[in-house]
Amino acid sequence: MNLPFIPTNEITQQQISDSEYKLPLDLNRLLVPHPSSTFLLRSDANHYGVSKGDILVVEKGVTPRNQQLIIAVIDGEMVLSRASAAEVWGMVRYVIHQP
Amino acid sequence: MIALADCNNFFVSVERVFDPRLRDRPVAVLSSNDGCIVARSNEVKALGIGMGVPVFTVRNTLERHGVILRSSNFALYGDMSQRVMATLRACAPGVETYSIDEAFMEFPDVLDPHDIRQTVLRNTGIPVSIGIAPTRTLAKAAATLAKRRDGTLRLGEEDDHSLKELPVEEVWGIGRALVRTLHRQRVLTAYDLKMLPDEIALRHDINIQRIVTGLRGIPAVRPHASQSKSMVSSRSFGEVVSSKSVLAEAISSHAAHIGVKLRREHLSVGMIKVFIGIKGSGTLLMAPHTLPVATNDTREITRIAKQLLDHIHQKGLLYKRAGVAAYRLQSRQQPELGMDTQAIDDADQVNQTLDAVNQRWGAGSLRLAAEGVNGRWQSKHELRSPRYTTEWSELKEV
Repeated sequence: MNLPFIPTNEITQQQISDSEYKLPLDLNRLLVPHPSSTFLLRSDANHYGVSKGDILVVEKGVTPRNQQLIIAVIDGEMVLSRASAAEVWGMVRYVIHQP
Repeated sequence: MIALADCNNFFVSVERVFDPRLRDRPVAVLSSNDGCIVARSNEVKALGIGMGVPVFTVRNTLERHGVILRSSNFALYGDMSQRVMATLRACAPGVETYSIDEAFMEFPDVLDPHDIRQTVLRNTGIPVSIGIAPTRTLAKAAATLAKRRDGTLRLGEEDDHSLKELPVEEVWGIGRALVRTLHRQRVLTAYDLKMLPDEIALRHDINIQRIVTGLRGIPAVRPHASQSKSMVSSRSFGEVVSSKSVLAEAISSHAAHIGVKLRREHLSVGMIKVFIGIKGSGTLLMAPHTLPVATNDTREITRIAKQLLDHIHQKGLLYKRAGVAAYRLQSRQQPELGMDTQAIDDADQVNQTLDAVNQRWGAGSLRLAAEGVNGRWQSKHELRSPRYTTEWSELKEV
């Protein structure tokens, strides 16, 4: 008598219920929830806890709280700074550092 | 209601986002090869420098007034355009991109154009002007007028005084040649055109009638639909080819063929694809390029096609076919942004001459020098700002 061959992985898949199936972690969704207003800049010095060469994930259109890390426009230059009275180009959401 | 959102001096505005020192300074952006001025800040417009003028003809004025020049940075402009469009899509329904810096949208009464302007400015750094009207023609007129005001303007069927401020040559769809005719008929402003008696309007072609109806605020029965056809020119080689220069010649002739077809059908192309087929297999190597401004100019299509070929060609492989395909075809009735209609007329002249000579003496009699003399087909872009949003190596440093 020939029994039908049931591969073992088929059996295990049936045991996983639909509610447990999730998408893998997506770094883009974490770092860039608003792509059209998010820009990537690079730090050119070690300052404000940021290392030279680090990538800055900067969002325009948000209002920072006082002292939050921002890109300010001072005398026409874009500079990494803490929020104060100066014009805000964008707010630094994340810093990507490669050790 | 319909609205048109139109970025102010788009290329200049983009440059100013990443270099705030350029604000309040006279800035102009140059075409590929740095030959002509394709965008001007308000300060440069005030100097009387026109759109599309060759740089060498205004060099003295530019130097005397310290005008800052930038080469075109299409990678950056294209990316920023997508950001503006995405932002608009989150603000209003039915957003339809019309060109690299303009979009139509439905405009329910509940929407506030000032809010939308503010949102786009805050999120992207780009200032836009918004014109609102019952028809596209009138919305475009409103957006043009809005630039001279606080950035937003509604036009209704009754708003004749505003239309008197708009010269007829700035009405959407009116080209230089027609302007001369209209001036002779004492039609000097958009208002004059709107009030053109019907029996005179009927003597002009259907597109002019559409414009007059549009200015009167009467919605068209059918909106301007873009044809979604495509065109291909390709050929299998008699013998296999491996040399890139031979492939380049073939691609150039396909590009020219596409140019002829486009012009014959009064279409422009928005996306070009180049493909080469590897001998013995069905594999095609291909690359697309989306143009910021649709074109039907053989020179432009050829230049892009050759650059795409550079991109996909691999040494050591044998090729059996090559071709160029054109997608996102648009009717030529609507003028393109970034060039004024005179520049389009001039480009048309070159292309029409090409077509006429080839018709008389046989296809291929008059061709572009497709051998690619060094640098001829590459943009000079010496004054180009970094591609801040598309190249990892060119990020803005702070």
